[in-house]
Amino acid sequence: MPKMQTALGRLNSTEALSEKNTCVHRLHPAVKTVITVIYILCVISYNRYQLNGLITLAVLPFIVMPLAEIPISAIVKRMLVALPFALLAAISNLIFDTKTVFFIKGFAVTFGMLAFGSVIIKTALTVTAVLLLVSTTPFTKLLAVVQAVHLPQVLIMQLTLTQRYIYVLVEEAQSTYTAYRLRAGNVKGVQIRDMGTLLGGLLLRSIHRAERIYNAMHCRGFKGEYPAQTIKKVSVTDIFTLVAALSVLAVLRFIPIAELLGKVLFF
Amino acid sequence: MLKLEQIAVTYPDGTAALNNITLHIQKGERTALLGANGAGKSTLLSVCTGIIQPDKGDVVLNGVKLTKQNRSTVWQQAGVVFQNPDDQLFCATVQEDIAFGAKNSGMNEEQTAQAVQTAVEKLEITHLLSRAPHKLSGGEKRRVAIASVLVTHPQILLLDEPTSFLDPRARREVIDVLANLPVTQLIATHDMDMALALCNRVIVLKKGSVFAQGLAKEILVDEQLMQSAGLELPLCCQKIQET
Ligand SMILES: Nc1ncnc2c1ncn2[C@@H]1O[C@H](COP(=O)(O)OP(=O)(O)OP(=O)(O)O)[C@@H](O)[C@H]1O
Ligand SMILES: [Mg+2]
Repeated sequence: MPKMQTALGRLNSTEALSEKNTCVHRLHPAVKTVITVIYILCVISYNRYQLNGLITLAVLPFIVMPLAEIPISAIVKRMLVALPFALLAAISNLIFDTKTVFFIKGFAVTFGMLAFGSVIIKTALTVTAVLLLVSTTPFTKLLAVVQAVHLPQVLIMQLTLTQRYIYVLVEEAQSTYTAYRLRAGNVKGVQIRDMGTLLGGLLLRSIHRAERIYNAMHCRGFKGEYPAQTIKKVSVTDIFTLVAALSVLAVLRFIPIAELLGKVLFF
Repeated sequence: MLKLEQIAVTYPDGTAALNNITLHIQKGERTALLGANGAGKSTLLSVCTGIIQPDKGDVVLNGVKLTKQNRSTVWQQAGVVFQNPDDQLFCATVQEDIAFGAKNSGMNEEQTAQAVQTAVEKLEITHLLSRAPHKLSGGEKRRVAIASVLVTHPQILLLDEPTSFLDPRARREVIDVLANLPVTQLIATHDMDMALALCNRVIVLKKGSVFAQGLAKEILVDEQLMQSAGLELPLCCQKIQET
C-alpha cells in the first residue's frame, strides 16, 4: 500500500506547512477564506475564450507563495492529482471547436485551443488557491471559520473527528495490509476473495474504536457539546489586508491590464 | 471510598467476565489490579465508571450507590485513563482535550483555563498545549490523557495499563507522575515492577473472581500464589531468587 503511505505523507506535509509562522499564516483564517473564495469567483467568471484576464490573475499565487514560504513544488505535486481530470474535460474543445481566431506566424489558433487553455488555467488557479489556503491555515482554524458561519455542530464534530482519526485508520489499514501481504504468498495487491474479510475486519475495528471513543467521551461528561473552536478577533492588519487584496482583485478583474500593457508596448 | 459488592458481569455473547467480586478501596491508597489476560481487569474498571452495568451487585462510590440515574455524573468523581490514549484524546488539540472535561463539569472559561494550567504544570506538558494529539509520542499522549482526567479533580483515578506500549524512559515518567499524584488510584496492569514500586495494596483477579488481595510486598513476592494466578514475580524479585 505505498499509495496510502504517500497520501498520508502528503496530508502530513500539508499540515506541517500550515503550521509555519509567516505573515500569510498569521492572517485571520476568515480573511484568507474570503479572499480565496472571491479569487476563485473571479477566476471562473471569465468566459471560455478570455485567456488574457486569467493570465493576469495567475500572478497572484506567485506573490503569495514566497510570502508564505510555500515551495512551488509542494503545490505542483498536489496539483498533478487534479490536472488529469481537467485535461480529460478540456480535450473535447480541441476536437470540436476548430474555428480559427487568429494566426500566430502562420499557425492557426482556434477557439478550441483558447477554451482548452482556459479550462486548464482555471483548474490550475482554483486548485492552487485552495491549496494555498489549506497550506497556510491549520485545519482546526478553517473549521473555526466553518463554525462561525453556523454550520451544524454535528458536522463540525464529524470533521474534527475525521481529521483526528484518519491517521489512526490509515495506520490500521496499513498494518492489516502488511499482515495480509506477508502471508498471502506471491500475489499482487489484495485478491478479490480476500477483500471482504480485510474490509470487514477494518470496519469492525473502526466500530469498536468508535465505541471506545464514545465511552471515553462519556467518561469526561460528554452531553453533545463538542469543544467550540475558538476564533481570534479580526485585527486592523487583517481588515487592511482584506481591503487591499479585494481591491487588487477588483482591479485585476475589471481593468484589462494585459491588453492595456500590450497596447502600450506594441503600438 | 470505592466499594464493589458481589458484582457479576456477563457479556451479551455469554462470556462471564466477572463473578461475585467484592472489594474495598480505601481513600488515599494506590491499589494494583493484577491478573492474566482476560482475567477481567478492564471489565472491572468499566463497571466502576458506569460504562458497563453489572448484572448483579452494587458499586458504591463515596457512600453513594451507582444507579441508572446518577450514572452520568460518576465521571466527576472517578476519572478513567483508558488503555489506548488514542481513544481518549478525541479533540483537535491537546488544549481542547484537557479542557473538555473541565467545561463539561460546569466550569466557566476562566476556571477552565486555570484548571488546565494547573493540570499541565503538574504533568509537565505545558509545551504540548497547542499540538495535535496524533503528533505526540506514546509517553506524551499518556501524560496528556492523565491530565485530561485530572482537570476535574476526581477523587479516584482508574488507570488501565498506564505503562503499556511505552519505552523504558516514558514508562519511568508515567510512574513518577502517578507516584506524585495525591489521589486514590486503582491501576490495572501487567507491570509487576510498577505495582511493587507504586502500590501498597494489590488485588489479583483470576477468571473473573478475586483470587487474592492484600499488601503488595507480601503478595507480589509469593511465587506460588503468583504462578497459580498466571502471573510472574516482579523482575527485581526474580533476580533475588536466582542469586
Ligand atoms: N465486548 C466484549 N464482548 C464479549 N466478551 C468480552 C468483551 N470484552 C471482554 N470480554 C471477555 O471478558 C473477559 C474479561 O476481559 P477483560 O478485557 O476485562 O480482561 P483483562 O483482564 O482486561 O485482560 P487484558 O489483560 O488482556 O486487558 C475475557 O474473557 C474477554 O474475552
Ligand atoms: Mg484489559
